[in-house]
Amino acid sequence: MNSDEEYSLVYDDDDDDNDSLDFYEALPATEFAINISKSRSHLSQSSEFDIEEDPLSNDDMAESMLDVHVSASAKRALTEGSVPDLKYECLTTEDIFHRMLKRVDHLQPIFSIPHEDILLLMQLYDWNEERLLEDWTEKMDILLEESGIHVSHNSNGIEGNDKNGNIRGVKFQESFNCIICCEEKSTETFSLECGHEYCIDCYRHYIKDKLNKGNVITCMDCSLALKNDDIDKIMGHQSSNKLMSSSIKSFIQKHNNNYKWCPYTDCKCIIHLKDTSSFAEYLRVHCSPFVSCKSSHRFCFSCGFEIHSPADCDITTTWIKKAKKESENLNWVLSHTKECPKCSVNIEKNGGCNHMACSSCKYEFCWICSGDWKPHGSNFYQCTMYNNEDSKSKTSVEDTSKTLKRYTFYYRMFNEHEASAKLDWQLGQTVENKVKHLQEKIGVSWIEGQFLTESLRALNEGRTALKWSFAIAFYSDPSHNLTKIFVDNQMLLSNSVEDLSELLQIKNPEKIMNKKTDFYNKAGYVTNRTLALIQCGRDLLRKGICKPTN
Amino acid sequence: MSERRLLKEYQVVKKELGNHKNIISSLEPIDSDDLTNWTATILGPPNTPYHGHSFDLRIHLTPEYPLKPPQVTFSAYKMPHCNIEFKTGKICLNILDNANWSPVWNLLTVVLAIYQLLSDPVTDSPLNIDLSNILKIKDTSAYYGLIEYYLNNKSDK
Repeated sequence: MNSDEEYSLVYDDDDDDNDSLDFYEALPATEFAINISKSRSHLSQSSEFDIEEDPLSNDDMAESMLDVHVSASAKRALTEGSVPDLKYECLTTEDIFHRMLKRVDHLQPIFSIPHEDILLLMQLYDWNEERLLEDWTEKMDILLEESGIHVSHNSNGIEGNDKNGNIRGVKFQESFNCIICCEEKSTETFSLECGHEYCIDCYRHYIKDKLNKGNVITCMDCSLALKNDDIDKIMGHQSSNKLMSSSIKSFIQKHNNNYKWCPYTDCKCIIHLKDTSSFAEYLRVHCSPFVSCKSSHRFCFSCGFEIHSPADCDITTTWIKKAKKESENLNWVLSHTKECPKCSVNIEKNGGCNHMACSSCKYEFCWICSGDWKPHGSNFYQCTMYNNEDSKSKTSVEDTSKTLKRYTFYYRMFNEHEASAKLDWQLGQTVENKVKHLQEKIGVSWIEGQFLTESLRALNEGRTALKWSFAIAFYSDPSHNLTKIFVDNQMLLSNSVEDLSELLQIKNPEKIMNKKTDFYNKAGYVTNRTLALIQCGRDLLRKGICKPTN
Repeated sequence: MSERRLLKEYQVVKKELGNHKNIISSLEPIDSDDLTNWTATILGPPNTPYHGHSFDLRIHLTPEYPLKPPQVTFSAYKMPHCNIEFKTGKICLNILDNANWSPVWNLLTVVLAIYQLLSDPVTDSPLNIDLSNILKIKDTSAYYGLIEYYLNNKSDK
């Protein structure tokens, strides 16, 4: 096949490069650009889904490659299989809340009610301004009552108190009998205009749990709402922030097409992508939307995993699911829970009826058929308890036992590289110290010391690509020639990664400086090998040689 | 949570039970020393297939009560109702849900709400799909028939 020749060509070129010590400094950009544009032009002819239909783009690409400084990042983006020109922003819940507050400022002249009340309405409408405005113009009075801002006329407020003008707030009572805890004591109490008064301890207990839910908190006996100010008065300074941030969190969960949490542990960043309409198109050509948060954690916006090239999102999720299947712990999850059909959160049914509401995205669905609940409410129930799950699981059991051996091998490889990546990360901590050492001991300038950091990055990227390449290899047709080339590429990258990793272990600062060219060469080589492997993996996907099977 | 609240409820129940004689035939703690486990017997509301039958309820109050709702179930295999799981007697009722529960409600209101559920089944959130389907197509005679069949056969089980 034509493509095979193409690859062996790339392969040979790189092999030669390996022998040349000056490879990185003299040749790489041009050399690589030619390889890339060769394979790219070949690809755009062969793939009917190719997006790059503009014939100029290949030339542009080659041109940009010629510029050594641009080439590093441009090369990466192009070959990594990332969706080009992604426009996104990195936010925190506070950022989003401040934006909402600004919107409230903006809305205030229209509503002409206090800011706090608008905030309450926004919270009630899941921060959906348009829907709120619509309802507001349509039925302002009803809305004010329903949202608990005004005392409802038909509420069963305590008799005789209607016109006494109960004052909202905390009071002190000499002797108060709270009907919740039935204690008679001198205590602080709280009540809204409705006059339903309870002791402050009961109110605190009542509110505490609800702060994490993000919903509007109402009086215990009627629909009158507690404002942020009230919550702060009862629970102490700035407790309402907690409520607001959980409300924003549920907003993010509900809009999880455009907002994603950074998947890295303890990272509080949220990536906001305005336009995801083109994603489906790109996913079809095996491009994934890779994004990077403020703490430079890079991940895939579509499937939420780390950068997973050469695998695409499909392979990644199938692979991860397979890996999870093997773990005992998750067997329980699989048998006792279901994924929310919308946001894929695992849901355990712990009672109640089959009308499920996802606690995360609030999607309502039927437990039995996993379908949208809406038709269930009005139509005849058609979902039966006994669907064909049984027959499905049988075949999958056979499948697993067949491929188990093969799978175990690939999974071990995958795991090994994951473990090494973790070790490399620890190595990264020491590299920073090494750079400092270099600066202090030998008087190397900061910029000159950067080759170490660069090398480490190349190493990390190489490792990650290597790791995911085993997922690709597992799902690829082993008899195909291109798969064999892919495996060869894996070997090459694996060797180069180990080489570089070894080099980074050197502790003596003088030795490091002496080996500077070595660092450059090996890091550059790793980068090129990484990109070649990714490119090859993407070709396996494009040609349908690698297909996710369950 | 509060001993005193439980004692107070006990008193209120004793005092007010008389006012609901044709609804609740009994509501009392299983053991008068332990106010966290109760039983209740409610009567089938008139104009429903449940009329003329009585139903036993088990009520468990968690330590978080009254901040968390009580756990209420019918006896297993005894209650054919669209919002009650026949096998277990579990009840799907919004006020028994954590999110909708309010601490101002008490045992009496809970039992009255369940009584109300018998007359007003909610077909949108069924635990007994067969009954719910029959209700939806408004096949009253089948609905009555099926429930009566279950109720009259319950002594066999």
